[in-house]
Amino acid sequence: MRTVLSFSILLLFCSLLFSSSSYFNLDHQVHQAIIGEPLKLEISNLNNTQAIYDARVFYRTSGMADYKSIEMRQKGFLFSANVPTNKMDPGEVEYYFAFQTAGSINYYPEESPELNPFHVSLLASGSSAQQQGGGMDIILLSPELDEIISPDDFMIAISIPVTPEEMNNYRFSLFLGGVDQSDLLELDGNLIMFSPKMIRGGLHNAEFKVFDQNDQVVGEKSFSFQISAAPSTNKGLNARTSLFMDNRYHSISENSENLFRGGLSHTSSYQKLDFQALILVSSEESYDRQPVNQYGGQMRYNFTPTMNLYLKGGDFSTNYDQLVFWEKRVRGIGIGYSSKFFDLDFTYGQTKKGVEGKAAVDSTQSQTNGTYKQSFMAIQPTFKYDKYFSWGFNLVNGKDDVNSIQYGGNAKEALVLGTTIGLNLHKNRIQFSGSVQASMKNEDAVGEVDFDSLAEDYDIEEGSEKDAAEALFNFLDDTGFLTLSQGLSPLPSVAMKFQTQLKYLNQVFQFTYKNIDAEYTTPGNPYLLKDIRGFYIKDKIRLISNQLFLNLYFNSYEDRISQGDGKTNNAQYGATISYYPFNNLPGVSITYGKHNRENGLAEDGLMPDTTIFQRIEDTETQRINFSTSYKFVTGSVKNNATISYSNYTRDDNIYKDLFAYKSTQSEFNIFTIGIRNQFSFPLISKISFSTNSILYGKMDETRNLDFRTDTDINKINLGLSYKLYKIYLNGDLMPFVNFNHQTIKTTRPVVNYQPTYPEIVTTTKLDYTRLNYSFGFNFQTAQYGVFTFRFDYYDYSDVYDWNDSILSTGYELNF
Amino acid sequence: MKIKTLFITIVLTLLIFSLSYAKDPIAVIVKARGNVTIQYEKDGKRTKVKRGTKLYTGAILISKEKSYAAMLFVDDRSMVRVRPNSILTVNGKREKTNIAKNISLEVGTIFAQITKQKSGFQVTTPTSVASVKGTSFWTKQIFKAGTYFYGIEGGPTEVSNDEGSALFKEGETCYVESKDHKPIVRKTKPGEAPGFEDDSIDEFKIEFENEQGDVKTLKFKTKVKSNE
Repeated sequence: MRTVLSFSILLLFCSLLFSSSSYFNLDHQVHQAIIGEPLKLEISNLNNTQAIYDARVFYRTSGMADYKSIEMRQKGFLFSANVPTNKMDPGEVEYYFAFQTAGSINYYPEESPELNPFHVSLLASGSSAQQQGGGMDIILLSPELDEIISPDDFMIAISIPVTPEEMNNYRFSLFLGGVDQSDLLELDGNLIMFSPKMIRGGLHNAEFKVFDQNDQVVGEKSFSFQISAAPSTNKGLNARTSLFMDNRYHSISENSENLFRGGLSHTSSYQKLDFQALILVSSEESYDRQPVNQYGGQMRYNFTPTMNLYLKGGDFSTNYDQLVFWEKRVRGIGIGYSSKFFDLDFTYGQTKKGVEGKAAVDSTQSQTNGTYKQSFMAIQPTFKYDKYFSWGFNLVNGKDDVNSIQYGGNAKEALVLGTTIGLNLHKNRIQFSGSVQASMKNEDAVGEVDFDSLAEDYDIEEGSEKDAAEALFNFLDDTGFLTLSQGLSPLPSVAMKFQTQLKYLNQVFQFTYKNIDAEYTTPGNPYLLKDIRGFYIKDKIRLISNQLFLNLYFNSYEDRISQGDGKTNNAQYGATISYYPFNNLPGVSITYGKHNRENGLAEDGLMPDTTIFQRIEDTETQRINFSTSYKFVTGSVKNNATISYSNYTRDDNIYKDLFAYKSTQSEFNIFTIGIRNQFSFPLISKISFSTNSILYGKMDETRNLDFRTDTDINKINLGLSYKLYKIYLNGDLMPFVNFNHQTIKTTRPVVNYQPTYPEIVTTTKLDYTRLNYSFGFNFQTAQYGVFTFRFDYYDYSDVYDWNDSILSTGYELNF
Repeated sequence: MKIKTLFITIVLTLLIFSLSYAKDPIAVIVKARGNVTIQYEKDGKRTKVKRGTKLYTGAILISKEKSYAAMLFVDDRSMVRVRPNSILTVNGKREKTNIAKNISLEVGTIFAQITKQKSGFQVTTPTSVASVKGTSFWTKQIFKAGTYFYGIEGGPTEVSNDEGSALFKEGETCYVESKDHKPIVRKTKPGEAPGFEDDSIDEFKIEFENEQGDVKTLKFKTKVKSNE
């Protein structure tokens, strides 16, 4: 069951607090998750005027050293991503959003998102589906486990123990080697088959899942099989194409706009040749924006199951290492070779297109800078011994083309050189990975400079340091990777990361160390978090026959290292204890976490007045969360109830007494209860209620002035969805309606900031309701595709003079 | 209100109609070699079976010389292997999530590897009926003559006709000369039971899953000596 999470209120409040300075006005709704089910994160972008080049959500379980990221899918105003939770630890998921627009990256939350992420509780599951492969006994008829099959004989046949009439209550997914093949499943009675015309040789891993009407995983089965290397006698082409179109018409803040997005994706294979193509066209594409449209193709020739040659063209992305080249779209070509003992990848193209700036024609002679076209090149040879050992080298180079536009700022260039190593021993029980990278950059790549001038500018003294810098300078001079101009930093910046994972004695122990210089720059990962150094320790312990899980973590790191006294020490520790009962008993999870931040400015006892431009840090943040979920049946109705309580406190030790008006001290208490009902006929209803009390700010004890804002938010969410089978064209119609009602009561001080120490003039009370309802339907046919319709309406009562409405339609056809 | 009632009536009618019309597969072919065909009426169109062919109730399978096939029932993974020169009809009746199975062997040889049944499994021959609960055994029907049942594993299995009934188990042979003769059980002679020497289907794997979800696979090869 997924219930609207109480933290959405917290986030809403935060968004209201910071909306005045926000580039995006993001209204944010989060759903609670149960381990094993996808965590659906949605963010609506109601009044953004810039085309979004790339939208991503970064996530990790509490205590982990690194965030993973997943691309968000844009559907009209809504960005969404399904974060897989199968392999996550019990406790909390931390996440934040990142949006890449023309020339900049915007985060949500905006301030240090990696340190102030959003949180979602991962509830223990009453049925512990993820532990037992689901409660449903899935029968794998073909292939047999680890069977070797000829490509022409290949098919997957699965049956599930339900009556054919009940099959419509379930949804099925099949992933083959990580590729979603769900659209190609054929259903007949309770038999589910997958029989592609072609399949490549070699070992394949398959994952089959059954979802109920709540979109919960009720059964899953993973299996492996091998396709014999003998060439297929089937000369046919196996192809799959998907056509998709989305249209959004909205009226937001009294402005109307229509947006369109459509395209084709194609996957095919012919004997040993695999082919993929993507065409995406958007009405948001414009000459003065970075590309939104995408045109890309990939071709791979499989000599054997473990050896292949590939060619990529157009828009594509390739991943080397997070410190170097990760989740970055390139427009160009890529070529590579992969085998058991050696891999090679070469990528060349551009990561930004040139967008011309403007010069004012009036007397001010001001200039609006455009964006330079940025060329990109990356190469990575890797020596390997199967999956046990790998040693790779990489070079990544990005350069702004100063001739691409007339009006621009400083042209920038960067070069990264480094190495990676990986070890995987004792049946994956011992894993080690390491990456050491050095970058050089030029912040103003115009003109020329000799080394001595540069050394003088950077105060590089005679000796080994100068010799090394000169050697690098000469290397750049010979290769042309960076322009030798005044903007060149002659000394490299370093980024490194080492991680060890041990799986023994019912534990998964992980130790990570990372150190990323503030000046370290890679053109291959614009999202990389820098200026950070420290270690991260995490231990996951399984107890009582995998029913009880204990997660412990301790992190000690510094950030803002480059800011002198602003360098901040972080100590993070926490624990989660989760109980996953085998029987149908409630699953329970209790989480505690603490995060202390303190820097030298606080230690020095400096007064936080306006003369301090560097931010003082001295805060303690504590989180306590209790959550439980329970599945039960009343008559023929299947129910899933969840209850959660969270307490979040942030103690601010910096701003007090006369500076209390600046304090960000806060306390949140959030209680949520929800239930979802699945009836014997295809109706699902959900209702949830949450109540939140938020106290933000601090008392000035010396003057007895209360600068706190007190907010109470109550929220009711109701939802209904139904499914009508084979209503027209053998298709299923799924109408839905949602209703959200919030009451918000806020009491806040009105402050006069004119005096040296601001004073409270009076207090105001804001009492309003916010109403949102949506309705729509999905109409799904096997032959004619899926049509979706959704209408959203937002009523802000007296807060705004207008109401917002959004009409979204979509169509997708697979053939 | 009337419109709403009419709408609901239409939807429910469509739903019930669509459900009652359904005809569902009861088994699927997982191995096929040579010339094995399927038809649904005695003089109906014959289609060559291949891996993945779905079998609906009433399917008539005919295997020619040097041809064989194997099918798995979708409810419990019970397997039936069809040997060369055999004619059989596969019937199944759904009982909720289970299928009551009946293999009607007109002539030829089949090997049935049956998991524990909830709804029953029968092998019907011109001479008798074998009711199976969970066992592995051969059935050999001689053209216009008697029936041999060879117990390979598990049991016991009951064979009956109008003249009487008998139980046979692992290592025993049940012979029924005709429908007018009572089934007779005796020890299987060495080399008497059929085997898989002439095809590649000789390896079995059985999957076990414990409460914790751990899956273990037991692999074994059948070594059944043929009397042919």
